[in-house]
Amino acid sequence: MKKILKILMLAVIAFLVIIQFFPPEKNDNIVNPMDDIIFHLDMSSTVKRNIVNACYDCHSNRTRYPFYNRIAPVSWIMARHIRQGKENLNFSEWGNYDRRTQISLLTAICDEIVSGEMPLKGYVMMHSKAVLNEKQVDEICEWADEAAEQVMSPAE
Amino acid sequence: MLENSCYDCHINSARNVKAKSKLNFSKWNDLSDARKIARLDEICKTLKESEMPPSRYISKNPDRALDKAQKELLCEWTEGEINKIMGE
Repeated sequence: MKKILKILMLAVIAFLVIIQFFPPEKNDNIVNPMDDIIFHLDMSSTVKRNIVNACYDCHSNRTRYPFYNRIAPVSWIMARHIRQGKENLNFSEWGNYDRRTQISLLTAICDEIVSGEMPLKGYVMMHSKAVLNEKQVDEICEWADEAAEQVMSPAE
Repeated sequence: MLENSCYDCHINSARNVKAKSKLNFSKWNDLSDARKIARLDEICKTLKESEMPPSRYISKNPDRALDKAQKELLCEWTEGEINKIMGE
């Protein structure tokens, strides 16, 4: 029995060592600031700071990686979150969305943070700056509603 | 189709609080134009991806299922409504 346990432990350790040699691709792309939402929509510096802190790691083309991202399988889990996050909303590519998508995304930003679905709980646990209090949520929602109106009627 | 397949969970009298918080047809007129567009977009998307109506609901209520043609018809309707709101 002890021998089986020993073999199992060694296998787990070997597995953990081997997977370190297969790091996922980093989300560290060249960003065109003219495509970013910050370039396209008016927002206060407070809203901008809160959105960058709470959302940009998974919803932009550049992630500020923590030290533990160098360790697999954490790096793999983070890479998956970032890939999915960018598929749903990528602030760095805002200028490439059509108006309709922009409107839908702006309302989704508010809905997701009001319901507490975003930022992800696991992410917030490790990133205290990403915590959004009630006031910050209200400010972002107010901005998102106004921005959606702005996108609806660009001429005004 | 909407009444048959969506209203059980997405109107005021429904019990499913989470479903109502996402989409409540009874409060449609209270929504801003932007939110109407987002909801219409989401209706078509969730239908196409077969997220809605949920499979558990359909297995208990097979008569509420929507076939491909019905989903396409609903998406045509959402598309038309979005265009109307956006004035296109």
